[in-house]
Amino acid sequence: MSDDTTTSSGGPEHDAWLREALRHAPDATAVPPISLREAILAEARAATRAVPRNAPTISLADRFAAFWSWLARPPIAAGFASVMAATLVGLMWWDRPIDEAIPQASAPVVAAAAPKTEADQQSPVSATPAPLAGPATAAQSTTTPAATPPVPATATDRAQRRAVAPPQAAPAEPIVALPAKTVAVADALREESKDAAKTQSNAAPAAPAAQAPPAAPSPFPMRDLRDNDARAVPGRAEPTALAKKAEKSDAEEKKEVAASENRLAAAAPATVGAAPTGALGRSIGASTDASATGRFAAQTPPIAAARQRVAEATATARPMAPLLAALTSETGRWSRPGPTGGSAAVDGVVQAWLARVDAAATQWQPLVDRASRLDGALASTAEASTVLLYRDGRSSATVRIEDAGVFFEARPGQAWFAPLSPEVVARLRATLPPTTR
Amino acid sequence: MPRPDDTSDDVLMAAYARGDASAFERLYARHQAGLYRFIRRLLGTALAAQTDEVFQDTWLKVVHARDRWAPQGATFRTWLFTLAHHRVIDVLRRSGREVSIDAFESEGDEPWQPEATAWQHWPAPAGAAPQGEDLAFWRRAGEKLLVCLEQLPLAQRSAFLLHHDDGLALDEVARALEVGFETAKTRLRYAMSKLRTCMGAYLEPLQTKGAR
Repeated sequence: MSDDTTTSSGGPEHDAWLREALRHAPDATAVPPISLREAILAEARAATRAVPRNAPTISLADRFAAFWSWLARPPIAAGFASVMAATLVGLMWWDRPIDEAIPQASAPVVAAAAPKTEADQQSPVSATPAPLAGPATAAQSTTTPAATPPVPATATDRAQRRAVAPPQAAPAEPIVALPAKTVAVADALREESKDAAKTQSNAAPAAPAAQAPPAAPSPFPMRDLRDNDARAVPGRAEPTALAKKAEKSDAEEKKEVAASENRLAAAAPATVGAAPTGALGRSIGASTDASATGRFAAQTPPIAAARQRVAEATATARPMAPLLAALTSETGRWSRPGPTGGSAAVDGVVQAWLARVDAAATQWQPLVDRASRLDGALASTAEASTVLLYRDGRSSATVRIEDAGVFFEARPGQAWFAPLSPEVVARLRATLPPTTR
Repeated sequence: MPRPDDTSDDVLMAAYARGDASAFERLYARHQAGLYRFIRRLLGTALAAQTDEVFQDTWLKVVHARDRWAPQGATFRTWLFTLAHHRVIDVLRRSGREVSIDAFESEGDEPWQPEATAWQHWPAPAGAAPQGEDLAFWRRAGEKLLVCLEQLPLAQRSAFLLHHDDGLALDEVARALEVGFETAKTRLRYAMSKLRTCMGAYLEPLQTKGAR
């Protein structure tokens, strides 16, 4: 053996003899056991089979992550939130009538009914205009067609309008409907819708108003109605103790409203249109309160409600209602020309006649050219029947029956005209109170 | 005559990573014997019982790391022996044996050189298949070599085995042991010097007897 053989096989780091000895070592032919081999190969095969088995799970997770990231995009998230909000609102309104959610373009103004009983409020069908002999029912549901722009109404008002008869049914018998309207206006004046609900239990059977003797008329028995459904008790004009108490309790709450209304009245004390404005506002408000539930009325701010009432009064289709209310509440301050040139009191006959006029006139139209209209009317005095009314000695209102209808002017600057059929005109002229020029 | 499998290890490993189990079987068939010997000789006779465990763990690492495996300049074979080497170190440390990777590397600039006279009586490496007394000689030499290997530090032992038994080049040895080329070369030279001394002293009586 030479030195070159020591490193000849693979360089200085390779020893051929050591390699040969290593190749003939006892463990040179050692191999792993068969069982170990099978175990390793089985594990390797299982790993390859696990790849497709796990694939669906990973894919599902990836799919969910992709969906979540897509949902988190601002436009998608906003749209999803909108859909959820719409669904919530829809569920909230699910059981309610659909027309409650839709503002009605033209809704007839409902003359405020007298304090309704619970049965009346819960059963609108009972508020359907009754026959001529049913003044109690008629008092609850007298309607006036909306000749003026529609007045904002509450949902309860609309619900009541659905329950009442069409507006065309009201003027069919204005004489019969008269007590109902006057009762409604008078009751609204008292602004006691809440208390009226409390006094419903005291309601007494109503006597037919049509049977009330004209000699002692009480077309505005609002206080009586408020207490115990005294629509059948004419002549009572003084409020009951309960009504006074109710007024006192509400006085603080609507103090500011009353003050503003009083200021309005003081600003134009000689005019019918201005003086009863507050009363009219209250009447409308009371009508709304009476027709609406106490819950809605209590939620209305006093000032806003007063303003709304004034606005409604201005736009009302019953311009004579404030006058009638004022005549009832301030009887002593009103007068009219007497037969001998002096002044005469506005008695019940005149009030009843005015109430009939108000009931017969169902289509009031505000007159823009009031002056020319008035001049024309004065020129044809022979064909017209006029009732002049003074408040505190000053001319405040004019009601004139013309051939085509009735003209009503509440000074200053407020005039209306309502067409009437010839039969009604003739009837009103026939019953025109004396001393009317 | 069956055609020899000339598909490279990297191709087979890539095929296995894609789910081809047969590719793994072919890899296993190629390297099972060499890896098993490497592990057994690194562990030595004292820990030979854990050869199967280390062998199995090494292959399971290959199975589990199939998706992350990439050639990155090293062959599959190099990576396979690296895994085995790491696993052996873990076993040795767990058994309480001190594993000094830097053994004998600070002994001096030149490794210890055995006495050359003992090698002069060795028969020349036969190469293919020695017969007769030569075969007996090399078998006894092999037995002695295993004893001498156990006297080497793990770093030198692994370098020698990778280079002489498994046929890895020096750079592959360095990569498998995760050391520099010169470090691997130094370890190998130290290992060879010690083994020559050990083997020469053991075989000399045989040579003397055979010379008679």
